[in-house]
Amino acid sequence: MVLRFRTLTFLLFLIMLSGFLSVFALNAYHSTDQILKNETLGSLSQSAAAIRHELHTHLQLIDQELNSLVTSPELQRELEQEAEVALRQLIMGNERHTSMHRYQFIVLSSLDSSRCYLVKSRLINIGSEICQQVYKTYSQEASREWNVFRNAGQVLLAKDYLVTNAEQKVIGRMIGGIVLSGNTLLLNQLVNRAVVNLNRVQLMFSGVTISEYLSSKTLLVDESTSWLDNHELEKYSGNLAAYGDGLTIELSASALSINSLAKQFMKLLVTGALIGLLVSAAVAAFLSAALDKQLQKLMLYIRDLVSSGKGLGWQRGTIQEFNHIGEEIDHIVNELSERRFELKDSHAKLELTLQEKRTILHQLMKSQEQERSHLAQELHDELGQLLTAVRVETVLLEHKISLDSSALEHSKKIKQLVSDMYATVYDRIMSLRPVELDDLGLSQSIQQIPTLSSLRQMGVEVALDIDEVIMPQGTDIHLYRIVQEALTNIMKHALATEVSISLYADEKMIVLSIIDNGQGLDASGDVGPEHRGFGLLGIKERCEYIGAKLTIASGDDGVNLRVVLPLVGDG
Amino acid sequence: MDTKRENIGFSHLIHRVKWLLGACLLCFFYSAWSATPVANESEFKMLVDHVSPFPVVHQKKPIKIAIVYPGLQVSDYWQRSLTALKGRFDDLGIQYTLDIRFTKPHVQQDLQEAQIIEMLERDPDYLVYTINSIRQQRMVEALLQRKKPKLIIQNLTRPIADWYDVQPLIYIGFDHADGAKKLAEYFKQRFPKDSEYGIVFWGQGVVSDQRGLTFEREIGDYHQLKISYFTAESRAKAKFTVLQMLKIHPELKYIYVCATDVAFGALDAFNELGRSDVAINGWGGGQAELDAFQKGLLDVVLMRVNDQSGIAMAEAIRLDMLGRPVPRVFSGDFRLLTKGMEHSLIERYIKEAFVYSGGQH
Repeated sequence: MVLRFRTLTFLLFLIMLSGFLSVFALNAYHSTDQILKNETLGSLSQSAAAIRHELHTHLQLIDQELNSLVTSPELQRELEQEAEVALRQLIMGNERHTSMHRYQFIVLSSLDSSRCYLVKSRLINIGSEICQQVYKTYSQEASREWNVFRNAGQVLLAKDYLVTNAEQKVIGRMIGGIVLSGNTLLLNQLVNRAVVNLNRVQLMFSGVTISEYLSSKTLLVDESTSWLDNHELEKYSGNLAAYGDGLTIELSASALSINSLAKQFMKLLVTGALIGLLVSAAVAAFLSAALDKQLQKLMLYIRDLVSSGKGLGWQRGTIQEFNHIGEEIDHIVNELSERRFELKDSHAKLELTLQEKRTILHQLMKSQEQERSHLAQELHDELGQLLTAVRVETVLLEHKISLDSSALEHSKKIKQLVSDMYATVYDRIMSLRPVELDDLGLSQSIQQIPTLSSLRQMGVEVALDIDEVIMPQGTDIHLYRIVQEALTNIMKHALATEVSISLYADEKMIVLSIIDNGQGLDASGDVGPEHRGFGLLGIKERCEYIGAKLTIASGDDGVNLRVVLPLVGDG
Repeated sequence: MDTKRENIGFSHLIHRVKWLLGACLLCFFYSAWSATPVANESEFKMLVDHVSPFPVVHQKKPIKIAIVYPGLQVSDYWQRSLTALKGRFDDLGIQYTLDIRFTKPHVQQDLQEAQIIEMLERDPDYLVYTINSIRQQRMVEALLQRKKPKLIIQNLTRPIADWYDVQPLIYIGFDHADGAKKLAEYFKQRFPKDSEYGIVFWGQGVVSDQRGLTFEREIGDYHQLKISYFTAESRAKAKFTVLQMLKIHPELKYIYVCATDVAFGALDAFNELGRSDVAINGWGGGQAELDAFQKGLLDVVLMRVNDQSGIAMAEAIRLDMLGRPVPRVFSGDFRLLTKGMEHSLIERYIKEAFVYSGGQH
């Protein structure tokens, strides 16, 4: 699978950013419990404050009612007149503004405590209903504006007022308040007015629950979907010390609100993660596009460089590293350009030198062949005639010598020596310039190559398939030399058992093949020129000289040397 | 013949089996329906409107119901309500004991408190009471703090919001405001624009507010309110009040009254003055009002479908005994009886309203 760089970088960036996001989300998820706990406790603390505020407001309203009652002339009059029934009617009656609305009991006492009236609904249980006892108990605890006190098992919250007559003389004391014990209605009102969502609220006095509120909404929570199924609901305890020591309020969070909070949190987390993922994708796309753009720019620049061979200079982009790469490429290209010019120059010089050398070599080869031919002619013409003359003279001498003379023996030896010398000279002439070449042509000359005889003597099977070929002037000697050199190589190095030589021509070319089944050429190239000989080099030079194409195929099964000399150019 | 007899016997058998299967299916579907909680007032209304012994309440001992009624007034609404309660209990096969106390509506609240305390000593399962004053509301608040008895508030259909979650078992009654709206609509059609009228409220309290103030708001600027009074306690005081009103404003076209006692006090006043040109309404449709209406003394009577109140009470208690949810409020229906209405329709309405207590009048 082949991916585009842009796709790859996009995926990499996306994976990387998503990874960070996942780590963050997982961390947040694992911190959910703690966050919920903290949030719940914070919420409970606020709820407690709200309930405290509602209680304070409720007591302020009661205070207004009690103030209205204590300042009413009727109350002052009836208290002075000790009219208990009238007092009760005044407080409990339905029609008056002083009537019992929010407060639940009234204690009216004369200053000397000789008279004490307790007014309340008979349905309200305030504990002891002995007026003096209630008055005394309250007085013992009274140290604040509102005071909580226990009255024979019932916990009450009350405030006291002075009752004056028309002359502003203090004639008694009034205590008014509410019952806290079992007052679920009040607790329910405070919780609901505070608009808090709670599971349970307990009003406690000296560590004992005196009133309890249980939310009806708790029942509505589907347990199966409850977020904190295995968790206890958080509790918060706050004191109501403003009304007396030991009065506290304990709040338990509603499973519904915790669930709702958890859902909100999870919603926030999931939404955040999704947004993060989208942003990550956008960032990844932007980054990969920016990188890809720079890369494309770089590739285009390199392509231009390759096609034009020179650059206009890297146009700087926004990514520093790409600018560095572009500048480096510029630098390398400039260096390469300089080196190329140098190399071209050197190459031209070398080519010239080689051409000169080749010309010299060709001249040398031509000269060598001419010299050899000249030498061979001279040897043949002069030394051959001389040796013939020596032989003739020797024969003539023999005729003059008696048959029993020992000189005859010597003359025979001279004749033999002359024959040997002639043979040697002939060989030398042949090696210098095969005379058959001029007389019989290349085909016959090849068959007369002495190395062939040597190979046959070595047991090598030699096969010749040689046509009579008419070839351009001056090329026969070179082909002859090539065959000669190739056979010498085979004899020296090939360890071949079979050798075949073929020569044929068509309208277009002359083809010479020399094939052996020897060990082939050393492919490693470790063999030095002293071992390799100059044979192959000479063959190459000769091919080049005559304009032939040389192909040498070498393997374990031997060497196939093929020389193709085109004829078309010659016309 | 034998064959025919056999065939007849077989077809009878098939018929009986079909009938039994039908009955069983009916019982099954009804039980399935009745097994579902009565979640809203409309479903509860179906229970009220149709007598059904299903589901059956199994009792070890009779339930004890304590009732404190401000029923010592001309209106027989409270008495009829009791009759309907008893009638529906009997139909449902529920065993019960009733401990009933009657007082005057507003003036005997100390007595009502004493009666309640006395009845609480007998540990009733349910207490039926009404709220028409702050004092009564405070008494109910004190009672709500107790686990027992469960409270049924009669003659009030607007739950007291300030009690939040601590509420009685059910509020049963007839929506005074709804009735006042019906009467206001009637008077607006009966008298032309800018007609003068007066209002006589009953004792100060929730009922007078809902019946009187709602009427006044509904009439609005269409008619001119010339004079209004609060009265309480008795028919005689109402008569005195109406005499005063007509003395000051003899041009009044109609007087809107908030209670039966006031209506009869007003009729007494008209009688004394010899006036029959002033229209007057009845409020509630008790027997006395119906009699006066049929004599042509009252122009219009707003008649409660009276027995729904007692029936709803019985059905709410049954649901509670079965441990099923009870709706917070049941509000009974009204029928407006007007002059010129067909007699048969009036009879039908009356019969429907007094399905259990009809035999009383």
